[in-house]
This record gives sequence, C-alpha cells and structure tokens, in this order.
Amino acid sequence: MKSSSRILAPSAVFLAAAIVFSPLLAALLGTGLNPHALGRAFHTAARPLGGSAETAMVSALVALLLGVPFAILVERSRPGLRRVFWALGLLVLMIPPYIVAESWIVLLGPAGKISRMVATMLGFGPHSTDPLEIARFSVPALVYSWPAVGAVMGGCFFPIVALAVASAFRRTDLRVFESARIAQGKRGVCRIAAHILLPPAMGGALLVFAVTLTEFSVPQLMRVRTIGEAIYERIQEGDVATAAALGLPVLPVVIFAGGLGAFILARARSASLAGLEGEVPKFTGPRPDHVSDLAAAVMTFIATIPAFILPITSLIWLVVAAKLPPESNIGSHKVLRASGFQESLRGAWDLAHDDAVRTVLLAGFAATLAAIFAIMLVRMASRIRLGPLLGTVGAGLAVPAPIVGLGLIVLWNHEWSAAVYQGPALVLLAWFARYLPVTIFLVQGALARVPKELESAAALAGRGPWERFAAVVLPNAAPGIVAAWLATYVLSATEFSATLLVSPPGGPLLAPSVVNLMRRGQDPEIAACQFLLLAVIALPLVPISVATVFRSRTIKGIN
Amino acid sequence: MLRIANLSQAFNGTTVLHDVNFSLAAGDRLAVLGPSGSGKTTLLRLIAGLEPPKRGDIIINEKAASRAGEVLILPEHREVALVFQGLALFPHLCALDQIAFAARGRGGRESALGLLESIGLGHRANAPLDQLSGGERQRIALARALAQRPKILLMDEPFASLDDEKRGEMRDLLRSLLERDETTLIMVTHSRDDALDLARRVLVLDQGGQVASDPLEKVLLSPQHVAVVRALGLGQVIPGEAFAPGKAETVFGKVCTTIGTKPGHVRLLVRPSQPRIVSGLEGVEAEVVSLELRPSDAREVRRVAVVRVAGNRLRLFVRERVLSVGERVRVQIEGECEPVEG
Repeated sequence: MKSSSRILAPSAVFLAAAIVFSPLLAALLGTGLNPHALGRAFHTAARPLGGSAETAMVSALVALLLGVPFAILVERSRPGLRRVFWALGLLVLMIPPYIVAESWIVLLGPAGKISRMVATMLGFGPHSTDPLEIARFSVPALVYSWPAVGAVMGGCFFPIVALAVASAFRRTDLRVFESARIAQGKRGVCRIAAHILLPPAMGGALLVFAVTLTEFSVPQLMRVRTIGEAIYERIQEGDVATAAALGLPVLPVVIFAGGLGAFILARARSASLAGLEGEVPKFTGPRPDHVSDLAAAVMTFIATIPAFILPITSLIWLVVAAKLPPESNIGSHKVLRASGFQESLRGAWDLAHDDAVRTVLLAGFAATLAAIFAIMLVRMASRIRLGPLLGTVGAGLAVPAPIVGLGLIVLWNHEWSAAVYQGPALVLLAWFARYLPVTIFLVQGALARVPKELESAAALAGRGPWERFAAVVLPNAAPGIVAAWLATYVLSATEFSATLLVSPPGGPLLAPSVVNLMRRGQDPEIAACQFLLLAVIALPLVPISVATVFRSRTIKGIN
Repeated sequence: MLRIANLSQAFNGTTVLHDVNFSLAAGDRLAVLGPSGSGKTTLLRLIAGLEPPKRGDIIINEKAASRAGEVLILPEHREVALVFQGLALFPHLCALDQIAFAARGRGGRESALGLLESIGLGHRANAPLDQLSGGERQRIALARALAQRPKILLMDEPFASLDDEKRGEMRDLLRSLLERDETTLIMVTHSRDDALDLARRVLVLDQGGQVASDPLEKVLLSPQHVAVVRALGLGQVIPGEAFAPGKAETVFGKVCTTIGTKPGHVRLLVRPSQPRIVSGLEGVEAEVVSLELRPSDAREVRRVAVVRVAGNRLRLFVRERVLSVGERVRVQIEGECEPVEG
C-alpha cells in the first residue's frame, strides 16, 4: 500500500498542481507575451493596481473590525445561541459579493431606497411633489468608490477573520485570563488577549487582503477600476498578451500576503494552548449571561448588515413593493413597478431556469469530483509525508480569474481539443483551477482533525485500510468534508469572472447570466434572477440539514 | 508467545529505543516502567505493528511480525489489542457500538453486550461518548480491547486519569478478565501500585535503553539500576566512594555495602528503613529540613523527617522522639546498602 502511495501520491500532487497552474502558464507562455506587451502592461497597471490595493486594504480592515469582536462576543454567548449566531455569520459567505454589491447600489446608491429616504428625512430631498423631480432626485454616489467596494468585500469575507480568531479562542484555556488579571490586572488581560488573538486576526486579515486583491465583479459593478477589470478589458479588446502581462504584478503580492496569512495562522495554531485538546477537558471560562448573549446578538446584527441584511432587505423590498398596487408606486424606482412578486419569479424562472439547472448539476458534479480527488490526494500525500507540499497548490488562488479563463482558452482552443473547449469540461477545469486549493485545504483540515489513534485502534480491531476509512475516518471527518464540498459548490456556482470567458456556446451558466443582467440595470425579473441564484446556492443546505438530523443513525448503520 | 530481539527505533536521527530484548509466555504480565521519554509508548506501538522498527525483530507466536524497516504482520492480523493513553474511543459511536466495533466476527453485538455487562456498564449501552464519565470511558476502552480476544493486550498508562479508588477497581476487573482468558499483558505505567498489583515481570527503560527485565520479585529484592529504584520507589540513592571491600564513605558517614566493590565512585541504594537518628557521637550531624506524615498499615501515623548534610538530603522515619525543623540531629545508615548503576 505504502509503495503504491510512493508513486501515486507525487503523481496526484503533480496532477493537482497541473490543474491549478496550467492556465497561468498557458496565459504567460501561449499569448505571445513579449517585452513590448510587458512594458505596455506595466505602464498601464499602476492605476488599476492602486485601485485593487486600496479596496483590498479596506476589505481587510473591515473584516478585522467586524470579525474580531464578532468572534469574541459570539464565543462568549450560550452554546445554543452561539450556534445560531455562527450560522448567521457563516451565511454571509454563501451570498455572492456581486449580489451584495448590487444590493448596496439598490439601497445606498444615488437612487437608493435607503439613501434617498435618509436624505429626504435630513432635509436634502426634493422640495416638490412633482413626480418627475422626485424620480430624478439622487444622492451623492458614495457607493461608487473604493472605500465602499472595500466595505462590501470586507463585509462578505469577515467570517474568515472571525473563524481564525474563534479557533484560537476555543483552544485557549480561559483561566489564563484570570491568572493574567490576578498578576497584572486588566492590563495583563489585554496583553494576554493580544498575544493569543492578534496573530490569528492578522493572519485572517491577510487572507482577506489576498482574496479581495484579484476580485473582479464587485469593483466592476461599483465602478472602481481594478487590475481584474483591466485584464478583462484587454481580453475583450483581443490584446491577450498585455492581459496576461497585467496579471504578473499582482501575483507576487497575493502569494506573499496569502502565504504570510497562512503561515501566521499555522503558527498561531501551534503557539496557542493546543495541549488542551484531546483528553484534557475544554475550559469554558465564565458562564455566559444575558448581557453576553445580548452583546453577541447586537454584534451579529452589526456584522451581518453589509453582506447579509442589506441583500436580504433588498430582496424583501422587491417582495413588498411588488405586492403594492401599481398606483401607489408612481414616481418610485422601476423595481417597485413590478407586476407582482410571483410574476417576477416566474419571469426569472422562464429566463434562467435552464442556466440554473445547468449550474446546479455542473457545480454539484465539480464539488463532488473535487472532494473525492482531494480526499484521495490528501490521504496518499499524508502517508508519505507530502502533506506540506500540497500547501504550494494554494498559490493557485493568487491567479486572477480572467487570467485563468484566458489561459484555459489558450490551452484548449485547438482542433484536437474541440470536445473539451466546446463543452462544459472547460468550465469544470476553470472551477478546479480556481477552487481546488480551497477543497484540498478544507479536506486536509477535516482529515487532520481525526486523531491517528482512532485509525490505529480500528486497525488493531482487525479492520483493513478501506474499512478503517469508511467506518472511522469518514464519519468523523464528515462535517469537514461536507463543508469542503459545500464551499466548492458555492464558489463554483457563483464563479463569474472565469466562467464568463469559458462558458460553452449555448450553455450559459447562472452566475454570468445574472451578473450580465445586473449590468443592464435594475429590474424585477433581474432581482428575481438574483433570488434564483441564492436559491441555487442554498439548495444543498436542505439535504445537508436532513442528513445532519439522521447522521447518528447512519453512522450506527456503518458499524 | 512474544519475543523481542535487539529492538531499536529512531525518529529523525534521534534514538528513542535501543537494543531491547525480552520474552513473554502466554498469560505473562509485564509492567514497562521508566521516566517520561524513555521509549515506553514507542515499544508498545512497535509491538502493535503501528510502525516498523529501525532494527531488531518482533516475533509473535513463533512468526516474525516485524523486522528492521518492515511490518510483516499488519496490526489487524496480529491478535494484539492496545488501550491507548488517550483511549482513542470513536467519537461517533455509543458505548455498545465501541465494543461491537472490535467484536465483529468474534460474537458481534451479543458478545459486546456481555462484555459491557461484565464491566458494569450494561445500563449505559446506548450512551454517546460525550455522556460517559472518565471512569466509564476507561472501562469501555478496556472492554473494546478485550472484545478482540487478543493474545496480547497492550496498555499505555491505562488508569492515568482515575482516582486511587477507581484505579483499584479497574485493576481488579482487569486481573479477573486476564486470568479468565490467559491473555498476555504488557502495561506501560508510571504507577508503582499498578505495577505491583498486576505485573509478574518488570521491564525498566531509561533513555531508550533497557536497564532491567526480570521477574517482579527479583527486581524488588535487588534492583540493579537507579531507574529501577526510582520507578518502583524502592528507596533513595546516595553517592559514595568505595574505599575497601564492602565499605564506602558517604556524606552520611561510612556505610556497609552488600558486595565488595572496587575502590572508586559508587551509587548506593538506601532502603526506607535504613537511615536512623542516633544518639551520642555515632553517625554524622544533620539539620532537619522538613517534617512529613505518612499513613501506616496500623492505626498510627508514621513521621518522616528530611535531613540535610552538606546539601544532600535524606528521608528517614522518626521512631521515638519528636523533632522540629531546624533542629540538629545525628543520623546513621544501618545495614548494608546495595550498589546500583546509572
């Protein structure tokens, strides 16, 4: 078994690296990249790079400001409420950033429902009852700025920081705070808290910075010029060499920030009181009271405003407004002139149900394939201690999405590969190139959390390798593996930037369709299409919830 | 039943086990003792087949089970069970299923239920792991191991997290189950009581090396190494200089030794009953550093004084007089002291 792993594991790692990095290499080597294109790219890259850097820095800052207090306060609440708060916090990760951006425009933009209402309340509104003047009234376009883009993306990705901080918090014997207080008073508590929580918070913030640096759809919707958009423009103009060259300056920054973030998180994990895991009971610290529950509830509300409450409010607005009689909507935005919510949804279904079904099937298939591949890869790699090498695949996350799309086109647009190029396989390859590192990372974590001793115990009980995996490893790693599957599914189903470039003709997928529709403006059917996309994302939660309820019975069945 | 020959193991160039040799017959019970990091757990993992040795052989039932760099018989085919230090109970299984997992093909759930009853947990059959107490978990881990009907049972500090009363109960339970099935036991422990209660033989490891592998009685009567003395709490070891056959000079005065050692530096075992407070001009002067109380077998309290001579401390029973801290007394070591290595 081990000798076969010695051949298979490096081959599988090589295959993963090839899937992730081949689009980048193809984009760099196959686009006719030359010094002239490089010079042109570097000459024009300064402004979009600045835009990317500014938005990414604000994103990281917002993620820190929301994530750290969220993690601390929620972890100090009662277990039942804690689960609810975490569920709400993590739901944020399931809403695509471009839908969040659209809701900001709808609610807080120049013609926004909330911004106009607030401006009117403050006395800046139209001083006339003329419907035309009311319709023309707008507020300053603050939403079309890099701080707003940063706020949207920070709001979308704050759970990354929160999870890192909560992880460190849970591994800490909370009595260290008591001993610090006895020794140095509140100053001591702050120093210990900073020592324990600062590294994971900074690690998480660096990851947010790396993730948002190459984000494309949100800045585009909010009219902020970033490197992703510059690349996309060049591709549309047919100047693929410059497009590929534009991806180069951002790569080292993302790799450095992401690598440093991951390194800090890994260090924080080992530096925290990890000895408290295992047989030593976990310490819960002071018993939560109503004040801590209330504080956690308020913080959850605040943290979920940017990327959960606002998009949901935007959609609910549609529902409420669509039900109003048409005459009461005179002078309002055209979203309010919908003929009815059900009609809007029906219209969206007619418009995009093929795309939705295709997306569900393809994203489900991609997530399943990626999860199975990741499980096999991680198992084989850990047997011959290649696990750390897998971390290098994570650098693939640094490749901007349009470069992935461009690289795949260059790589597969040949006569001999027409079957791949013109079919959904190219979309699968794009999703794997972008998100296989995420799947591998999550599966690696899930499998690492199953103590080796359990497998040893099963081996000594007479179970062979496959049985050990099925009866012991899989049931205990199942939550993490399901999370990996879900993350891959959600990311694939909502991927827009690369999918747009590689979608086969006649087979569009929902995310690019929705974003393209969103660019046209605001319309009840378009809003309902966003609702459809959210439904597609939430679809697996139903079977997962049912499976969770029946999990214990299933596990008993395995035995 | 089991033969270990020249067994060595190393991790990242660091030797953790060096040339271990011993044999056990069916039904033998071996306690493996030694300080932390002496290679005890590694020895168990090698016998279980969870890792290949760097050098040496493990022979089970006259069949080579492991040899240098190779596991010849996989753990699942060795008929060996291991109770892990952390117990390694399956978090997703209830009490009965934990045992049934190991009993598959050996009586299944029925046999598992019988074992659960025999450890007094029949009423907790459907309890999930997180609702079981530490003692209940220990018993289930033991029952799971025994459900495999192993020829050799390995235990890694199995009772470490139990109080004295529960430890005693578990030892009684284990002894009865082992005697019923004639199972060979190898138990790693830091507890002298566990070793004295359960073992017939003792293996003492020190820095990866084997310093004793003998029947318990022999080890108790004549320990050969400092590590053995410390592991079994047999007394105190003091340094000295042998100056004549059977004679040595120590900071606590001249003492007799059991065998004629060559002149030079020696380490001597002082049994608890040997040091005494003496009157007159006998012995050497010492300062009482602290006073302690110990329970006795009879209805009385044994008083222990710690005395110091030139920085060296010695514990002794106080028999007739009342002492106070700081008092100066004269002490003498009576009887013959055994030289020990290490």
